[in-house]
Amino acid sequence: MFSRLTLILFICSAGAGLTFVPPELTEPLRGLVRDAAHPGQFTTTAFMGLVRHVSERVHDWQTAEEQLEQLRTALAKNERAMRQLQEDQARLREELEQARAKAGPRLVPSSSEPLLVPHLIEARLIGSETASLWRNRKLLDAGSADGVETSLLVLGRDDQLILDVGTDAAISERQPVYAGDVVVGRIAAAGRWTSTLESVTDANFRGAARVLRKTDAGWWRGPTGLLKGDGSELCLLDGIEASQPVEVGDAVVTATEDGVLPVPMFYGKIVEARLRPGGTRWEIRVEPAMKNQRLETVHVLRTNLNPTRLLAN
Amino acid sequence: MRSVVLLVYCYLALVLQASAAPELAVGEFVPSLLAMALVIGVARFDEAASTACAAGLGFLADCLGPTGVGVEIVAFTLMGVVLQQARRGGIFQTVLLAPLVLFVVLWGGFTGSLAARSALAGLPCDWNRCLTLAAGNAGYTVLLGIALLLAARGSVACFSSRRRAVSEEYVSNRWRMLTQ
Repeated sequence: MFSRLTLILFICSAGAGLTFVPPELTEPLRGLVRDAAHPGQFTTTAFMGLVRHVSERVHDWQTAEEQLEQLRTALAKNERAMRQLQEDQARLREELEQARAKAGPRLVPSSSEPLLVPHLIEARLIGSETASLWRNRKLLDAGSADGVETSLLVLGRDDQLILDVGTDAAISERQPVYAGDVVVGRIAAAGRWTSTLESVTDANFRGAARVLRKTDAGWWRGPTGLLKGDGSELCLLDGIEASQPVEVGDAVVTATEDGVLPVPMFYGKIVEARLRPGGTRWEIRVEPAMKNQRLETVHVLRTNLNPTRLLAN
Repeated sequence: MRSVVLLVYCYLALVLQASAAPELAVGEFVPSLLAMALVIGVARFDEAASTACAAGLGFLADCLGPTGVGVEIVAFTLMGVVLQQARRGGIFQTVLLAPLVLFVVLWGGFTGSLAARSALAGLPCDWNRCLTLAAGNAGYTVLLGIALLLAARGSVACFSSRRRAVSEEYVSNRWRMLTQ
């Protein structure tokens, strides 16, 4: 007991005495102990890194096991659902057969040939110089000996384009004129060999039009209105209610759904859409796509009676 | 041989304190693995060895501390003496009382060493900070010790049950009927 107490007192006295030793003397000893700990520290750090790595692997493995189990469960569930659906399908098919048997002979609609078939006639635009010669009757005079009469040509106004097809190609007034899938205008007047074109920007042009917008879910068919030319480079789109959604950049296409053409044709894009305070309709201006077209040849849409239907009668 | 064991034991405690304790720090509270080694030493070694171990661990704590040598030697030695008395009283056998006693002893030792360091540096002692920091460190050390103890017991129990399961030989009734 005495020796133990002596030991404790000695240690405490030594410790208390060491506290008064200047740090300059104790610092080398402290540094020596710290340096001696470095190999063990290095080993411990490496071991802890290994343990961490292993535990991460184990965790990943456990997570993968859980995911695999979840996938197995989901697969079994889906297989059960699929079997159920197959059973339902078989049952419904049986019911359908029974219903058909009860209903008697099926009514099968027979297809019919369309009455009108579209026919596009290619036409070339006559240049302004040639048109000017005609207007001055120089070409007509030269051709009069061959039976060319004034009434056989339609020359129109100076600002109107002239096509080199006329009634000889069954062209008549108000037939639409396209350049590819872009609406150029329509026939204003038709002579025997030539006809004049009324473009979409012409002050007299009127055409039914529809707003079309491309969305993530596909093309959205918007409201319909009346496209009018006013003699300027842009067209007006009238008759769109203020409650309808319209945005700059929306496409404007033909609204005529008479079954002649399978797809709508392109007028242009909305460049300005204004709604005045208290207004009930949009004020929309459309930039026609034909403005950017290089017009050399165009197509005139002509509708003919279906020869198959004619022969059937 | 016993000296070598003590030296290796103290070196391992030093290495763990230097490398693992900073990793385990929660805010300002750092567990004292040297104090944990002191508790284990007191529980495992005889009194003389545990006293020497306490002094050695205190010296190592001084070497890892901010400055000076001696304060931790005294603190660890005194903590060792108190823990020896507690062990002799059978407190370590009490499941609920042992952590409380350990916490109180470690808290006192840490507070004393912090206060002594402030005094030796000529600074006024901030008792609130000393008590809070010492309580945090002591509590963290005791909780970590309990967690490690439970983990070690669980591993041992698991290992023992596996060994038992492997060693049990399955004997069928048919075999018994044939052999007995």
